[in-house]
Amino acid sequence: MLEQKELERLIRLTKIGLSETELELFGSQLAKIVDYFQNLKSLSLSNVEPTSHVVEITCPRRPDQKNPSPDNTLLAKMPWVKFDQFFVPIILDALSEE
Amino acid sequence: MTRELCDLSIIELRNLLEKRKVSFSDITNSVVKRINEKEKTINGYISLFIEQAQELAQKLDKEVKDFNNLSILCGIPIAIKDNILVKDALITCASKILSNFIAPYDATVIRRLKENGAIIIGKTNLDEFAMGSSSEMSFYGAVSNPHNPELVAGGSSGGSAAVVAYGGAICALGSDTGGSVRQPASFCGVVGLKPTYGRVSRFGLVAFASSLDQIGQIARTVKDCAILLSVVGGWDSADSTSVKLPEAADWWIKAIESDINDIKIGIPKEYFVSGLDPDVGKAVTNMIKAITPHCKEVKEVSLPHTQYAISAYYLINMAEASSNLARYDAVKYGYRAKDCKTLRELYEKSRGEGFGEEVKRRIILGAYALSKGYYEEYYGTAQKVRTLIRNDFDNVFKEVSVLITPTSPTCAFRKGEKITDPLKMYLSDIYTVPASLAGLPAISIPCKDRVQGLPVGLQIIGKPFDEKTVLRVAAWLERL
Amino acid sequence: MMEFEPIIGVEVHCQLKTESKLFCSCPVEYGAPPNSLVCPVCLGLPGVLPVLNNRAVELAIRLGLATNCSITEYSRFARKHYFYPDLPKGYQITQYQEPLAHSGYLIVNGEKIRIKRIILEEDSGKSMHCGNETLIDFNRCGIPLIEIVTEPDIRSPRQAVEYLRHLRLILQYLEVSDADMEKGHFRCEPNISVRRKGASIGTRTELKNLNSLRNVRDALEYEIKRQSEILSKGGEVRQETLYWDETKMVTGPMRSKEESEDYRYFPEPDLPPLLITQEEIARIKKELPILPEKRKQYFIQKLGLKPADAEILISEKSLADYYEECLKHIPDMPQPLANWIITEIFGILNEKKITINELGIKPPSIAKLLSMVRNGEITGKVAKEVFTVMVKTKDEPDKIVAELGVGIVDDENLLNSIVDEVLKTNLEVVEKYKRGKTTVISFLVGEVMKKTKGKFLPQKVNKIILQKLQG
Repeated sequence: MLEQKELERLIRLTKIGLSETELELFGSQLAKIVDYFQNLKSLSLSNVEPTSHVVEITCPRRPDQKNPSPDNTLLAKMPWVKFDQFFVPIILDALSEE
Repeated sequence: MTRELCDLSIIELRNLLEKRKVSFSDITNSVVKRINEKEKTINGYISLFIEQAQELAQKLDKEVKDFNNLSILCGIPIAIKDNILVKDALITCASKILSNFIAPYDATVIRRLKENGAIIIGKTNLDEFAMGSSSEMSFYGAVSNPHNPELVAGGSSGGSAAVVAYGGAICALGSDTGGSVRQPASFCGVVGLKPTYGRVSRFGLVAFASSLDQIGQIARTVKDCAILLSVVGGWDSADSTSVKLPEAADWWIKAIESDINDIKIGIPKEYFVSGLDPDVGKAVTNMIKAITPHCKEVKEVSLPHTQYAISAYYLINMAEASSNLARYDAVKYGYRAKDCKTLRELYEKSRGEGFGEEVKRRIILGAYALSKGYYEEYYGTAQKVRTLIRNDFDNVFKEVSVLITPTSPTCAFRKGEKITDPLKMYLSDIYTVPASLAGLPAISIPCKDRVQGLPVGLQIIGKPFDEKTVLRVAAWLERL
Repeated sequence: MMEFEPIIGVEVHCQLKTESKLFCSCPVEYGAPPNSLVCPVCLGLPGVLPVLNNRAVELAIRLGLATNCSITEYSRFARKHYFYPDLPKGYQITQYQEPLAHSGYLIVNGEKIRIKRIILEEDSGKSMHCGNETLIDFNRCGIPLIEIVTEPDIRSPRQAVEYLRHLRLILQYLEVSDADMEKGHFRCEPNISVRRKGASIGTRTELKNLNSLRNVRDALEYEIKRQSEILSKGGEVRQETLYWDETKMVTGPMRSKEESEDYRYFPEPDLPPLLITQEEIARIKKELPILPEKRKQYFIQKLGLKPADAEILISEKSLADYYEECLKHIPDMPQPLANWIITEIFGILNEKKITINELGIKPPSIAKLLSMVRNGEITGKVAKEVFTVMVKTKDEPDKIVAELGVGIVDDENLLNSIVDEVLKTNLEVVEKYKRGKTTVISFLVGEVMKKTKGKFLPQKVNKIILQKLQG
């Protein structure tokens, strides 16, 4: 059961602004989908290991070497750069989020 | 219908080139002509590189003297789904949030295509961020099915499948997370291959669901798909989930041309129950009947957890998507909303305005599935069900080498029919999703029969990294 | 306040000493122009994937071994999600449920402090205010970090600081990190609660933004007071994250971000499980650099140094290394070398706030200087003067001695004539000596030394005078 309050929390968590109409539409659509997912509850999973990776390999590692030919044109291709730094038009207080 | 150059296969075109019956420019121009004729109706492309393509073809005409040691893909016009990065071209993922983003690097698969002389003709349309099964969820409008423009082309690689089908490219790359190459291939009447997870590098594929995504190959023949796979596939040091395989470079040639006397085929009963359009079922069954005398055995098998695959798949893909799309925050690149006074506004407005409906739905639900307090119940459970589904396949593969199923429960459906009901759309993925969860290779080929003139797709699923057997069976059926 | 006992744990984030970043091959450098050490991977551009740096793993294993941890055979990476402009992917790749190392301990001043876990993770970028905007530099983004978390075994601010000092030293000796707090390599986040003796553990607060060990101590002391006051009045301590205001000397709440506390951890799908074999662990164990405690014991037992001196020499790895490097050239002088470094050099380093390597004098030069004293070429006093010049000019000691003309001369004739002169002009003193007051000889030696400007060894001067007085 996906409740309205939970939906609002999720919207804040995922930083997605929804209009009133979207909020209403999503409310019912998402609840229906979550209800469908309940069919998994009928399975007995206590002895089952989760699968995080379908390939059975271990993490490859690379040698600790600097890139001999870095791409210096990257920064020039980014849209919001000043003084060689990315910028957001907001003052960020180190202690707050807004 | 007379076939023009743009309707031929890679192999056929190569033969003509070697015999000097056509030039590289002839091929590219044929494709361009067809694009000019059909593209307006189909809307398969988001970006086109006609001039560059023609220049490249002319260059090849001037420089190529000898076809020995020349890659078979050289000079072949290929379309690339617009969620795979091609350097210096727009990479939109059919989303407003990336509508102005120019790729600063080539995906590994693109680098390999370029090294082999392929001509990239354009970036194809898709469901936004590859989330969808119809290619209707695009910022650039829906893709139409070349067989009937009122129907969907399938998704999410609808653009890639449609352009190959109508002659706007000889072959294409798409991406397949839960069926996004196989299903549009089946709706458009072309061949679509999803490799084993780990066989093709994902570096440069815009991530949707990292543990499921694979770059798939779309072409008119099984052999063409195999060619594409042999060029773009293989271990990549930039992708930590790609696998090193000890195979000879030309394994696909041997695979395609052999017979199938030694092969045991399984037919999973759960794929032939109610929900499957009877005519689609009949078309697939006819193919099974035809192959039965020529292989070692055809038997019914069971994949008992099939009914849980949709839930497991959607929980996993939504969770991973919500994570992978967190980087679209209007800080470094992409769409930035106007008049934002706080950081929170910058995020919420940009993401709210930049993402389409389906993407937003999945991000929200995905976050829910991973949330503190809900993780075990949703994402954790889905991962365990994934294990059960894998085990189902492992068990049947002890007895058979491949499985044959329909690709989709229906043929191409009408535009607008399912987009108002997300769950309805999800449920149509039922046959393709299990192979994705298990990471298995799977191909969709057109059946001999059509349903009211529409193509029907037949799916062949194989053991991990056994593309060889999948392609063998597919090529045999193709020869019917 | 005595009735309240503090329960303290510490979380340290430390930058690893690698050439390249954790998941891409951008260089790890300091002071580079902003956004010059970036690539599509560490910028989190669409389509990129992480590839793990082998050395980062090795350094983490080193620390795990040095802290008596169990090294996990299959550890996993996880994604930790929150939105902030300096976190390009919107998540940090870290470790969550299966850490690289766990369940270890350190003995600090005889007390055991348990290490709960050691994990690898990537650093974020840096943001800076500029007018109406915030600028972001991603050079730091993706640098490998090691996170070391203790159990709440610490019982006083002083012990916390000692633990941190000890940990820093180990990190330096293992060459895992330079652990320079001022450069931001070494970030401490203590957590603290207080309780009456015998009561159950109370609510704890977390302290951030502490950029020196003194701040750690002050902030903890303040928190103990603040929490004790609240509890003794019957109130409740709120679980929150606090920052330390250096000027006001108080803690204050950081804006609580309730949403961001739901980090939605899940296993990183782009990185398969990390396998660390017994063979790898054994190899790293064998190659483990010597730890400070062991080095100290070596100095005391094998080189015969006084324990207090050994303690000072090991307090910075660069100092201990420098000492041993010098010793290679003058192996017969361990204590004099130690004395020299402690009395002459250590002071200068603290005054100028530099490391011994930044002093710019190579070990062979110090060794040469001291060997010149041992060989009788210069006196100890002269050596100090020469050293002052060496610090300024970085010249070789023998060159300076020659230039200043302060080398001890072995000219017996000159010495004899000067002694004669001194004896002639101090006849009363000579009389005193002849009458049995032998101690006046030191006055005569002093006079000769003055006249010869210390060019002769006092012992030699003494000998000649004695000869003349007795002969």
